[in-house]
Amino acid sequence: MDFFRSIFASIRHILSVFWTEYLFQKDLESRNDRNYTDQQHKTEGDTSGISNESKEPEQGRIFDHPAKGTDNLSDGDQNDTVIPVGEEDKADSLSKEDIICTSEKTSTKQPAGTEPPVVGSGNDDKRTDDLSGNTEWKLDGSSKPGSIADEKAPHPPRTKEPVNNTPSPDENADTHENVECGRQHENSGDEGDLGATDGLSEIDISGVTNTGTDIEGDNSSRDKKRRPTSYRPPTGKPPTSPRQVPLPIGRSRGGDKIAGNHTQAASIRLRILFEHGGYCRMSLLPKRPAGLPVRITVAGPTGSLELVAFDDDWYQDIEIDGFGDRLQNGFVWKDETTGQEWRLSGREVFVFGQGTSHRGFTSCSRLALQRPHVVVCTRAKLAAVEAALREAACGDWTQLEEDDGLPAGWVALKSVVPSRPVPLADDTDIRNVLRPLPAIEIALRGGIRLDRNTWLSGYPPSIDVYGDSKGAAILVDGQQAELSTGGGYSVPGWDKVGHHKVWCDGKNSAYSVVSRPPKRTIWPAHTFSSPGNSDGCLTICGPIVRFHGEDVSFDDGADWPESIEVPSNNPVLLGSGPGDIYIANCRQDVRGASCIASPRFSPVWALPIRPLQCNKQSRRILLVGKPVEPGHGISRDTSKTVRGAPEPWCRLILDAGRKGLSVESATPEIENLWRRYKSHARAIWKKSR
Amino acid sequence: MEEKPVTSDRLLLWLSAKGSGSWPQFRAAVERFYVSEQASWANSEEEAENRVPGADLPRYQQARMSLQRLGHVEFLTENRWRMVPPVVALFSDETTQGLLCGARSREIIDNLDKLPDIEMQVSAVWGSPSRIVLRASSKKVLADRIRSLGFHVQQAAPVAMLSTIPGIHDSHAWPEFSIPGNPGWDVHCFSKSVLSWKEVAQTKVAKVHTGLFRFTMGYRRFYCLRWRGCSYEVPVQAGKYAVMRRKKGLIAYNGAQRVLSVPAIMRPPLLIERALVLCSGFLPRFDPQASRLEYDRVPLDVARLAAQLLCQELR
Repeated sequence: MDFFRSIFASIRHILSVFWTEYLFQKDLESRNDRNYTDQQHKTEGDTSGISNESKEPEQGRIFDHPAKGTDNLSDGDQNDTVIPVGEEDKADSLSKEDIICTSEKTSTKQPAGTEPPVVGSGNDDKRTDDLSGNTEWKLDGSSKPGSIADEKAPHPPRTKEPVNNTPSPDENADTHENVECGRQHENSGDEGDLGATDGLSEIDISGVTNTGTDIEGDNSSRDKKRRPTSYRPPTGKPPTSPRQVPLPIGRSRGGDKIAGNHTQAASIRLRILFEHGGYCRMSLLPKRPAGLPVRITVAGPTGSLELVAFDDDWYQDIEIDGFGDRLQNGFVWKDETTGQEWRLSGREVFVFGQGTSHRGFTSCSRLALQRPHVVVCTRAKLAAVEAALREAACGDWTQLEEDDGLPAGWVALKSVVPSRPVPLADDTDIRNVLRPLPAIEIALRGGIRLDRNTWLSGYPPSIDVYGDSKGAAILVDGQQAELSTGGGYSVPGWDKVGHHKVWCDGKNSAYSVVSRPPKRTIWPAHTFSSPGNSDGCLTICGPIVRFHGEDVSFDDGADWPESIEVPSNNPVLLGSGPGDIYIANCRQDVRGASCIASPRFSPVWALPIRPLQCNKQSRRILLVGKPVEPGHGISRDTSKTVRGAPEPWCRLILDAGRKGLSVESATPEIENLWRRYKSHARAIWKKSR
Repeated sequence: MEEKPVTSDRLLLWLSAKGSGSWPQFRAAVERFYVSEQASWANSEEEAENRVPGADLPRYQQARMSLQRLGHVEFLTENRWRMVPPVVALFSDETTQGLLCGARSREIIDNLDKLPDIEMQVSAVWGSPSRIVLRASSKKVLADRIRSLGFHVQQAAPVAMLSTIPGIHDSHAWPEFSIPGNPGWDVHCFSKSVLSWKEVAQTKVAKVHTGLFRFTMGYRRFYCLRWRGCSYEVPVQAGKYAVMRRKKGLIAYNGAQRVLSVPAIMRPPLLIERALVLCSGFLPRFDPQASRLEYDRVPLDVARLAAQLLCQELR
């Protein structure tokens, strides 16, 4: 049996070699100027279409192969996907962020309400949207269009958005913020271009995630002209080492403007703040890549600048000299220590939208329907920009000039709210950023957001739907939502504590409302040694003042007793139980200062420290607490309590009685209460003797 | 189209729900909730012109200072913040009122509003969260009602704080400081006579017996107090009062109106200022004519205590 099996395998191998050689020669004839995959790869690719089960163990190997990215595309996409010789660096240099950005823009090109092709494009199969809101890119065997693997693999619908993703405009802008991304998007005028863009994406990702070295080694003997040039295996270099020769500061490779790819560069967004009197202020908002320090010095075209972290993701916005020229021509900042670059691509039209992470308006990739924007352009482009805005039915806008705080040569159009989607024009038309897409977007705005998708109870988000959503049902928690008078869609219970889902025409979003009551534990924010006491500490937390002995832990949650103000003449506090005694030491360096005491029992009386030696004309017994009977309640220990020794408690009471101290503003009931304390103390005293 | 500034209420609610966090998180929250600048709350153009000292500071710094002066949030030295638990600070005067400080939530405010025998007054205040004052027939009733909800109560909060804080002359609280030897620092000396900073040579600092110096280089800034030939790193407010000991007229007190005032450049240290602010629940008012900060409703005993701690005499 084994013999026949081996013969069969040999025959099959020979046939497959001939067959693939035949196909290879045929391909060479038909595509003389193209590079193709090698023969072995082709064989595997074909078998993958025949038997998915037999292919499974080899899937990883197949897609480790550099040329698979081009081979698994449909014919229509191939021409756009294969990267010309000499452009491989460009393809490799695309960052993953760039790719995701490009892909998301690609998806927004789909008209609202239409179901885009799931597997046929050969590009979509590289992206899966998971429930955590992350867009995950995969390279596996299921991505070959038309393969059995494709048919069996449960692809998520293209229009399905991540459930936990909060589609706020700012977050979208985060992914679209890279100006270079925006340019790629502008260039994606038709499906073919989109496929080309995604083709670049998958190749780059394969370089990031897979080694691909095994097949590289297998093919080392082949003619290099026949090798795919669009792929390079990962070099293992850290991301800070760019493959290209660094550009001179402030200069681009191709000319005055910064163009091309942003290999390792972090993005720089622009920000406009409108201040009092209609004056506006533009600034640069550099992204803070993970791992970079709080303060960093960068070299730029105008010299050195110090960036200071604003938060975990951004550096503080900054204004530079010659803003107008920098906007138009672009520039590069570089930190010599880490090699990190920041780039702003020069252009003549910028679109700003409102976000959630920063006040004012920050630069975004394009106009979005029904949202307010600011468009900033050069004076030379003003007429063209206004024409494009009229095409998008942007209504009335306000023009701001140099006198309003803009850079020289630039104008800003404020209150731009597009209401009509406009088809994209030619790839190179910069006005594409002024043409809003019809894509529907669910936005959760306002309220008090605690985390990414979590809002505080009582302050839920406002649910807004942007885009061409006319006639589309909007569901919140499965119920038809209505537009409320205050704005935003709602259904009964949409703001209750719990998890909620929003759906509109294939798009969905989710949010949670939680209740987080504030903590009530006191903690030591400021600690001082007691001015009048050497063995205790005073702590302040907000307006709270507490005294505690050295034996009291600083740990949170300690049940620190409430502090009370003790008259300096009566620093001895007595509780209802024998042993409940606390002696407060008052500070002597400040006249009129109160004695702060925090006894761990409820004090009833305050007595002079030496009743027998005090002046009974001026000193009194003070009732400082509730008039409870002696022996009432359970006494607790404290650092200042004479533990387990009722004698001091009894002696103080008896001494005050012997001295004949009177009770301050005493009523008959209080005088009687004091008498009962004296009787109680006398009884204990006699019993102890 | 433009966002309108709001009070710090939402920021305080967010901070209360979070409990604690980092300084960058706080800054981001100030941006997100678009907390108003102090000057933008001016009631008139004239008032807007007379900007409060410090109003030119970044918005998040203004928010930080107002929140910590009112005892809502504590900002720690390691670039973190932490909420104070909800507490009612009873005033030190004869009134039977208390100010809600610390963390807030809608439930807390609702529960306080429903308390029997308690009147709750909420008023919007520029540059800070809404001022919530609770009033009862007596302080005892007020404290008992609040305790019944499980909230903390601080009796006579201003006096209690001032009785706890060490005096300004207590050098034990000052960490020693080594004067930087590397060049490049901008050094200024605080002038006692004109109450302003004057530039001095870095090499002269070590030769001075007593004085307050400011070292700045880029974003770095610290204050060095030369005291009896030794160097200490001190908060700037404490350092100013340390070198201004017993200067007449520095602290003025109007007994009739119960207003304590100091020159705008001589703002008291944080905890002393907090005690003064907690007398009324209002941040200090700026008098542009006299260029002084005025603290409202300060009882005489509180003013005396503050003056003693600052080593000054009441005028």
